[in-house]
Amino acid sequence: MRLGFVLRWSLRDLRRKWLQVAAIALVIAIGTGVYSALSSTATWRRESNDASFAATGMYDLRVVATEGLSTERGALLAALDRLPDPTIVDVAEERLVVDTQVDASTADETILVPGRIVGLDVASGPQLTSVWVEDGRGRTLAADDDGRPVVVLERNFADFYDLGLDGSVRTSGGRELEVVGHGSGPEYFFVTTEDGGFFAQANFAALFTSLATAQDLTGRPGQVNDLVIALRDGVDTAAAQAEVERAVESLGLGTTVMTRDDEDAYRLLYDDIEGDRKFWNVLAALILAGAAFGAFNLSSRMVEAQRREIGIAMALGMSRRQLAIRPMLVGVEIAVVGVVFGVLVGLLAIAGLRPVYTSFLPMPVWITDFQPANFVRGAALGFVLPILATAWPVWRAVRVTPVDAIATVHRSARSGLSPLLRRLPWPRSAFRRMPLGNVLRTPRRTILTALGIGAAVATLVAIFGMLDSFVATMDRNDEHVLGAHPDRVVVGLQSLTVEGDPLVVRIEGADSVAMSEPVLQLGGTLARDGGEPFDVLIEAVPLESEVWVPAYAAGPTGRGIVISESAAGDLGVGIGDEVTLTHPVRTATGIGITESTVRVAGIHVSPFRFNVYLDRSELALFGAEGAINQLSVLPAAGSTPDDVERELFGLDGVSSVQPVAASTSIVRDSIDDFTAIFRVLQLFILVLALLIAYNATSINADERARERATLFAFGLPVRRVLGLEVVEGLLYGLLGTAVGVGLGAVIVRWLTTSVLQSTLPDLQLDVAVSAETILTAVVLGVLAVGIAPLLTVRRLRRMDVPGTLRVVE
Amino acid sequence: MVDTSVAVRLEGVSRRYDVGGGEVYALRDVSLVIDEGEFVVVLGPSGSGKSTLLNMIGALDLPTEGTVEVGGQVLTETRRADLFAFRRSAVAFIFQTFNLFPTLTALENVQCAVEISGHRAGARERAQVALDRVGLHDRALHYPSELSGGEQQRVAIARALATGNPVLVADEPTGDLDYRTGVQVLEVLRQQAAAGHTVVVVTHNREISRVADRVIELSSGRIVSDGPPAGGRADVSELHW
Ligand SMILES: Nc1ncnc2c1ncn2[C@@H]1O[C@H](COP(=O)(O)OP(=O)(O)OP(=O)(O)O)[C@@H](O)[C@H]1O
Ligand SMILES: [Mg+2]
Repeated sequence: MRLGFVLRWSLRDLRRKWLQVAAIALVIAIGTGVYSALSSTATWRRESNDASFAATGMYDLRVVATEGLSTERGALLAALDRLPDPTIVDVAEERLVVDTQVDASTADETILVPGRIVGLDVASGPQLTSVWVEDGRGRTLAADDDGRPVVVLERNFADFYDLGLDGSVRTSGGRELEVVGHGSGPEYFFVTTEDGGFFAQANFAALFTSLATAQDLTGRPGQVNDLVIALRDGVDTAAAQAEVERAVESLGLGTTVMTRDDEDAYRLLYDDIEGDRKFWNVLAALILAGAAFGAFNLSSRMVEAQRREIGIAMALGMSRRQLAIRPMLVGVEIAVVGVVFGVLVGLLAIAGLRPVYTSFLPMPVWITDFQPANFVRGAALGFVLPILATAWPVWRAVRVTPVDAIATVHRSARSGLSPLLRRLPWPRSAFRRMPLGNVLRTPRRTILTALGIGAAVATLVAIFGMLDSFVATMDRNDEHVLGAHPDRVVVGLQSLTVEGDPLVVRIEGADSVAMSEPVLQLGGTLARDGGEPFDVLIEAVPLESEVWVPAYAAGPTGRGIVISESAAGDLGVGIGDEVTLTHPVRTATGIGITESTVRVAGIHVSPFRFNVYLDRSELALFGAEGAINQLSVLPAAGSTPDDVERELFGLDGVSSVQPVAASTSIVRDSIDDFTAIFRVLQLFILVLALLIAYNATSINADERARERATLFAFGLPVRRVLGLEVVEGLLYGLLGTAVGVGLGAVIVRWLTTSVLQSTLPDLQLDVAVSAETILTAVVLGVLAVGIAPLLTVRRLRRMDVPGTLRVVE
Repeated sequence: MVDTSVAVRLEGVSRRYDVGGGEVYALRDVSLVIDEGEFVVVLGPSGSGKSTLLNMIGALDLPTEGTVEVGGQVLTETRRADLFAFRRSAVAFIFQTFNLFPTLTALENVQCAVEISGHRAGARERAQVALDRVGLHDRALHYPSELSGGEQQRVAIARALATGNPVLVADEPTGDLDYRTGVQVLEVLRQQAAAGHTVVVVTHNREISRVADRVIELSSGRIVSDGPPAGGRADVSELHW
């Protein structure tokens, strides 16, 4: 046959089926578009990090004086002249960085947190570590701010507390400082605590100000204690670090020289990418797979509807190649349109994802561009699948004898599962049995329809279920941390002390405090003989207490430590088993690190693997009977956590006063940022699922065109015919939804337990699929599919009954 | 031994269907030989296996027992891929259910078959001529849904004629036609036979069988009689419809 002829023929097919072609193409487009956007996120983050650090002058080397020590301005810079080759330094700048306490309270909220004054050379710079203030968030520091009481407040902190721009803050000395902007610097894009805690913005306020103001605030006129250096291109950082160390040694400041990688805020922003990338790639692949399967299913069904035509062509002697051309042209059309739409969906997905990233990690530069390579990878699958999908039914058709292919009714000896129906006593009316008969008679078609709907529902349940799992996990964290007293406040002490110390007594006796318990918090690692250890945070607390006790999943029985379920799982231990705890211990000469074999006494429900508790009666283990560096306190009757903050924060030796509700909400906030991506995806998935479900039903209805016409010919009104089809649709929907929910739940389990395990090893996610998610799935899978035939009512009304009947299609 | 003048040879052909535990024989131990240029009518009541027999000759179906040989080719020993080529060049089929492509016009349906059979040059003209011969020159641009049953049948016949393949098999080609058109169609089929084509026509209309060279009668899947029409061969114009 001539190609032109085939093309014309195919065009006519297209005119008849353009809606289905477009809908399948859109399914592919959503799959490839979302895939390309989601799999680009790692690249976006890396490029954005690079650009943002470059734009704000992240240092290569940083010289930090020991806490409390400082030197004359100029001395640190002068020391660089002693370098063997001073030209390795491109730019260097002195700063004064001093920890302080910050009072950012507003009219309705008491906000007292530890903080840091970062004094920058605004008069002649700053050329390095500049303060970035986004448009609309006030202004950055200017040269004439030197010495004036104005600051830029760190923006992650300001965002967490929803602070306005018109406020002011006070530092330890009670000095009032005007906030001129909310901004950030390269060391604060991501706020961490000294001990590596993430998302510390709830409890840490950095204040960027001029060098003179910082000197004034801290009572160190003319002094600096910090030097940031940018090296010339191509200079070896490690070698330069050693040279700078030697050059500044003689200043007697007990200096350390840090590289970028020593800066948690910097390193974590990059480290995080790798773990994340894996997870998002898996998810992207999953969505692509769901869409691809849906498209494959739909395209092959569409061609299969032409089974008879293929049979006739076979009888006429068409070769397999010729037989395949026309259906495959449909596949090509779907593929081409799908890929074109895919670019648009990709851009749309980027537009949806971008705000998630820019608000999650406010940085001066966010590059969220379209990544052609990723798109091509997704599109390749999106392109090949529909073509394969259309070739497959042809391949199947040429394997049966033409008589079977042509048969008007499926005349093969197999009659599917209809014998089953014969035994079914209900419904009695033959007419009412029709939908069930249709479903049972052609098991293959039924399975394909159900799988198509199932793929859509499974993808939906997987994405929605991930969100559910995060929510459930956070609820569990709340239950554990808040316990019986959500108004509990944790008071951090600046240094290690003992019970009975006057400061401790003073806190215990404070007016706003009803009850308190001593806490010793230490870092350590946990392992099981010879196994890979992981970091833990050990808290020695009274395990029988009115104030707070862990929420137990099992135990406690006997002496020993209480570990998390995921720690127990990772170590493969239960109550009564022994584990190796590496921890600090006080010795005659100072503090050392030692290994102890301890018994597991209980398992708590915290989703965080690193939480380890033990009773204070076991403090001897650390050689630290009675030691304390935190207190957990409950407000007195009539007092609020705010009152506690206000009363205790000013005390000498108290480093922080934080209501536990704030710390659980920061965890929730940070997880929300992660899940925001899911919320963006939800929308796409919903549309995807609807499209697949609708298409599956509509193709099914198409295959029934003759039966419909016959029913009309028998005088059945449109209403009744639709009724039959709705019932049939509901049956497919039920089947598909059951398959989809089951498969989706399996995927959620797999994502949360194995894939995320490597991304977030410290967080044990619950596997949860909420009632709302199931309901959404059922509404979509059963109702939407059941109702789909109603959308064809117009086509039904206008159906050319004799014409349809006349053609034995 | 291949006899060049033999167009169709069936030996011990049976077609069995297994239905719901039992067996149904559509054909049972059928043997027959049809020569080139013969005009054969297969006669028999409904369900006697006429269409099944035709499907065997047209390589649309294969027997469960026995051998089928058409145009010198033993179909029962032919690879599936070669059966495609066989259908393309050796037989032309007219179906009981017309089986036109619904998205192609009458002319295109015919043209399509011509091109498939390998006559690419002038396919459209050939198709037009074939349509003219069945009296449908003014329906060339109609779609099947715009044609009456008889008209569709005539398009199906034109489609088969236009291929020019040596064996023509027709399943109830006149069933839906009025007398005048029926006669016209039979006339065309006769002319094909006269031109050297082998024509096998299935019908349950005994009157039609009078125009055949030979009448094979089937009953319950077996040949019950085989020979010239009772009362001798008649001319198409002598038929009483
Ligand atoms: N796929 C099948 N499965 C079971 N039985 C079949 C199948 N195809 C045909 N038969 C049976 O084989 C027998 C012969 O069928 P065939 O179509 O050849 O009859 P026919 O002589 O052409 O009848 P008609 O004149 O009504 O067209 C019938 O009894 C039919 O029921
Ligand atoms: Mg028949």
